[in-house]
Amino acid sequence: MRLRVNGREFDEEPRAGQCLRTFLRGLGWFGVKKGCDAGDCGACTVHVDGEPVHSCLYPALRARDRAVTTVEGLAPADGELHRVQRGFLDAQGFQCGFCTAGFLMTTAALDDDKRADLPRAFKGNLCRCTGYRAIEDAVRGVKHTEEPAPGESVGRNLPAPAGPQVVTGTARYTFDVAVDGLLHLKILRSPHPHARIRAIDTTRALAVPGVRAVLTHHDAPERLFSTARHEHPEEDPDDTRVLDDVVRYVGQRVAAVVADSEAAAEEGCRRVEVDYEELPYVIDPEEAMRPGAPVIHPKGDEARIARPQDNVVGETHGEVGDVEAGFAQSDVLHEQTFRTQRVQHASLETHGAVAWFEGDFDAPDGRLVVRSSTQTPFLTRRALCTLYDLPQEKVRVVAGRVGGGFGGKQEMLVEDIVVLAALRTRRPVKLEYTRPEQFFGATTRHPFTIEVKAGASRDGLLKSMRMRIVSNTGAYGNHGPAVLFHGCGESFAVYRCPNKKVDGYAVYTNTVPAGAFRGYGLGQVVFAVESVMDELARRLDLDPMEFRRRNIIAADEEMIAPGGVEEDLHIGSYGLDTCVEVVRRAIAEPDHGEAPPDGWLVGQGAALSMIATGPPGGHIADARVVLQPDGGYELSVGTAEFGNGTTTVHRQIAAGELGTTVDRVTIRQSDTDVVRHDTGAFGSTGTVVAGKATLRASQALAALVLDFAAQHLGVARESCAMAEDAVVCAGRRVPLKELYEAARTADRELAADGHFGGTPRSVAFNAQWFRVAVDPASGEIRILRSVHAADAGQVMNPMQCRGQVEGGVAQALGATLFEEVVVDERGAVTTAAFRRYHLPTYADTPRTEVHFTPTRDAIGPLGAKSMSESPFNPVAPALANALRDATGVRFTRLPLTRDRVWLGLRDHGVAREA
Amino acid sequence: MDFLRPASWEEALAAKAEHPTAVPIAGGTDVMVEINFDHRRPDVLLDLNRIGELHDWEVGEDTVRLGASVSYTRIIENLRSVLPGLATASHTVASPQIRNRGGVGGNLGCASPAGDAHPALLASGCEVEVASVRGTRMIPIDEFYVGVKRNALAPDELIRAIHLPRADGPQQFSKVGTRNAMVIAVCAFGIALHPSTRTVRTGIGSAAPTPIRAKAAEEFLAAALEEGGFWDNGKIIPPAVARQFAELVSGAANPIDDVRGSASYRRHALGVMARRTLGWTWDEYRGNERSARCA
Repeated sequence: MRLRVNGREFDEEPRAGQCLRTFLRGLGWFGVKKGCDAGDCGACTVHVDGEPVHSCLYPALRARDRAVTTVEGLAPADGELHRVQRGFLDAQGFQCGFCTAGFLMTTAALDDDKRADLPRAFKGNLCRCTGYRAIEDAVRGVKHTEEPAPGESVGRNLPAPAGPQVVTGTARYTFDVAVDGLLHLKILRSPHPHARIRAIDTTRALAVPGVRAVLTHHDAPERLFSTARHEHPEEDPDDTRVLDDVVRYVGQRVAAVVADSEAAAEEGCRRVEVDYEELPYVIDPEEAMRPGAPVIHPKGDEARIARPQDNVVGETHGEVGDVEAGFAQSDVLHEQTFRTQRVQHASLETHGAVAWFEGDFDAPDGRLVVRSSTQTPFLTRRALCTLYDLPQEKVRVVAGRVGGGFGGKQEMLVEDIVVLAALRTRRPVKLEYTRPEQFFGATTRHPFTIEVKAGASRDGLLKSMRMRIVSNTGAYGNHGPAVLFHGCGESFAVYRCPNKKVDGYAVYTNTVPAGAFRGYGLGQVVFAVESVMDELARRLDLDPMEFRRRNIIAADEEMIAPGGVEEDLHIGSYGLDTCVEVVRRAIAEPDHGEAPPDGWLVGQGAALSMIATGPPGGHIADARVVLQPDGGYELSVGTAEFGNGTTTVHRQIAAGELGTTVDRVTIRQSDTDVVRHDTGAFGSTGTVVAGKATLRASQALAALVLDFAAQHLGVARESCAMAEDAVVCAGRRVPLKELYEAARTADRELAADGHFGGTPRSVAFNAQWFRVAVDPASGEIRILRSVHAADAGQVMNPMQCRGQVEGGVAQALGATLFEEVVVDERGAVTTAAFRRYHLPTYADTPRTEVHFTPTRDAIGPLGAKSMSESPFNPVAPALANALRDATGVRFTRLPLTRDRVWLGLRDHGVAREA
Repeated sequence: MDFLRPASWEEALAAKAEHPTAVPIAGGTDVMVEINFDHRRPDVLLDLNRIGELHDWEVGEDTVRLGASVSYTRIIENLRSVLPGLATASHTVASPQIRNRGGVGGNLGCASPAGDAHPALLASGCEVEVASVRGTRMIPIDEFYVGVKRNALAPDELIRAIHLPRADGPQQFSKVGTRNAMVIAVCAFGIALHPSTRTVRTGIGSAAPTPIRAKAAEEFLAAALEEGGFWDNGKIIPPAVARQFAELVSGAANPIDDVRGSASYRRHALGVMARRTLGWTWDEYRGNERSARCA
């Protein structure tokens, strides 16, 4: 079949039923992205004869004799960018960039009418990172980026280094590599919620042409591990095998088929014959804790499960003061139960990995390379080496550009099986999750049930807070205990209250495992706490913000959780009062924002939250900066970039300390080869931990270069200063190139290392406020105004940090209003597609006004704090509080879907007919 | 899997006769998803894309003949004045990329109760032209949907065109989803006033195993309009009549609980949409009547 792609003629035959997207990627057009396979996400949008289509829905055979344009062909041939590409660079209309090619292709085809109606024009393109404001600005030609200036980097809106690659479709994501001799791996998954595998017959699968290997529990190591990745593996239970002879949820791995093509591997999966002995199962965590419930992990102490016989993987019990006495002293009490749902990260790049060998693996210098969509390359290497008894120097783990993570890739969900297959076949192997697999074969947010009782005195002071929390960790305990513990920390500690108590349980059930997800348990507990604060204020007839103002901790107070005080946690800077003020100012502006439709109920509400700027127990980053022959610098950091913008910030920090401009700093990252160690991109550490290591390395190199220059010229060190491309010594300019040469001649390398162990830690603050209108006839909620206050300390890049906040609010609005991974009575996921699991689109996402507080942190690098997970946390309670204000009804269960809202209004007599 | 690409309608019918299990693929917006997700592995795909006439439409004196593959985008751009109900529904179909590819024939072929075109088709009172090597027949839309995702086509038949009466009065479409954009409808409602016959027709989507009409509601409303002389006097419809109409629409539904919404909410939402769309269409009718009288 002949067709023209980006002006080039091709003559290739697609398979019948093959979609154009797969065909184009096979031809090497990796700018065309695979996000959903169903025409929902738009990442694969291309033009066919000038018309934008979802190439995943377009049969490749139909492209015969047609002209296809992908993002790689969007720019005119003169080397200039297309105006739409320019716009996305100027506004930095992307974060991870995985959706960007699709947005560019859609935008390029818009006429003026369609551009005026973006909610409709963008119905077929999803972005999970940005919250869409930056994309809208890109379309409208708003420029946000500033020009670099020597030594002036921090606090400025400098663009992401990968921007030019992102907008031309040349950024290389995990699967954008062509590997010779690649085999494809597909997973056969359990149809049962709990079963023992009596026998597996792989004969028929192995007979499928192209199938190279079928792996079952007989091939897997006996060793137990956790898919969760933490610096200290003992934070998670060792309850998982690569392939197990017991399956514990519908969707668990049963076998892996490795074949020449995905189709052959899939056919192999269909032909594996498994004899299951079905076992009793339990999907409700309260039932799972009752005596007589099926025991999901009958394992010994070595698995580090708190109480295996009760299905409790982790628990926490703490009390400060005496909560019962506190209730007795209270004038008002409020008691309620809150429930949060399973939510999927829905990063547009799915999980997956490609493994290949460098050299002969059995030779001393032979290595295994694993290219993975991961937030934790170093910890994944460590886990792989432990699992397969490999020395670390034999394994290299590297992340390409990662298409979104949100915590979902702080797991080893695929690399273990890919490596097993590669070691077995001694061939390169790839596994790329499909979108449905993301829903039933990856992880979700932990659903929490939170019973709260709280009391306050007539003068508006909190007296007592008690919670019982049950977290459903699913069939495996990855992140289960840690998410529970984190959820019970800052949520309590932000309030001054003499009596606090928590009983928390992370519980196994026969459902898809939960895992790490932006906010790490705090979002769930903050939903309950902030809802209850609102109710207490109402009972006291106090403005809820005034009630909060009286009870939040002050800058010099201890942060006390029911479990006590965390020794290394400090208020390194305090912007919480300013956050509260931002909300109060917004409340005082009733005319701002959209007007409500006639007959709708209107209300406003707010919530606040606090988060530690890093996980407890240490978080390690190494960085190295090296002066290059051309007088530029090379910065190496281990942490992964998945759209969070850390690369931009690291380069700014280095350029600032070295007195140069960011374009003179190149970056190597996300690769176990580039530095000694890095714990990874999680726990809000990209700026404060890896950034601090970068700062230290850059400071050390600046000192070294100045010393060397002074010595080289024989002048006083004090007379020397770093400049853009030189050192200026007593009025004389010595180019860095020359210094590099001089150092090389003297057999010296001008390089320096920086290290940070992630402790002590500070805290960041957020507050969210909404005014909403509610249609009493349909339950529809419209957000009239959204205001977010964020205390990120010194904001390193306001444009980018604002994007983090906007994206966090948008993601949280999805989880607040409609996102839910639903499981049936056997625990099987029934929402395994974007058509059934709705992400916020452009049309769903209001513009959020973001206000930063003018603080400078005493602990973070250059006064910075983290601002990545935290914007998520106050959103759901702020919306629920606004809904309460509008309707008088307290909603306690997420998400607040239209039908639930309407049913709630009906039950309280608030609903109206049309 | 074979991918047949007939160049003419006759070739397509011959292919379908030879391979009755062949899955016709027009826009591909449903079939490709099923193939990508491995929900369906047909032996033969029958690509209708090269058959030019399926992309054509013809506006006659009384009816519009709409080729089965005319995309929603074309319907919106070209047929708004003669098929306002279908054009409004087309506007809410998925995304621009999908509206560029998908057409009414695909919606009818899948016969999913959630298809956006069905309420408007039911309200219009159209006929579906289907053909096989044995000949051509017209299926009234009321007889087209026979079960969950099943239609009245014989295995060897293909959908060629839809014959829709040109709108003789205002038409509306409304749907409720769980979010603003790109929804598969929680439920949807279409209404068409037919002043020339003094009748009202309706269509309900996603609230029963098949798309259905609310016949009792139609009959009630037609009688109430007749009785009050509303067609002639153009007065506002009394709230009690609108309420009764809405209740009858709700009552016609037989929704199930699923991830997109609870049954009781669907029933309620249908009532709300019925009242609102009736209000909109009637306002438009009164406005037209007034301006007609003025002229």
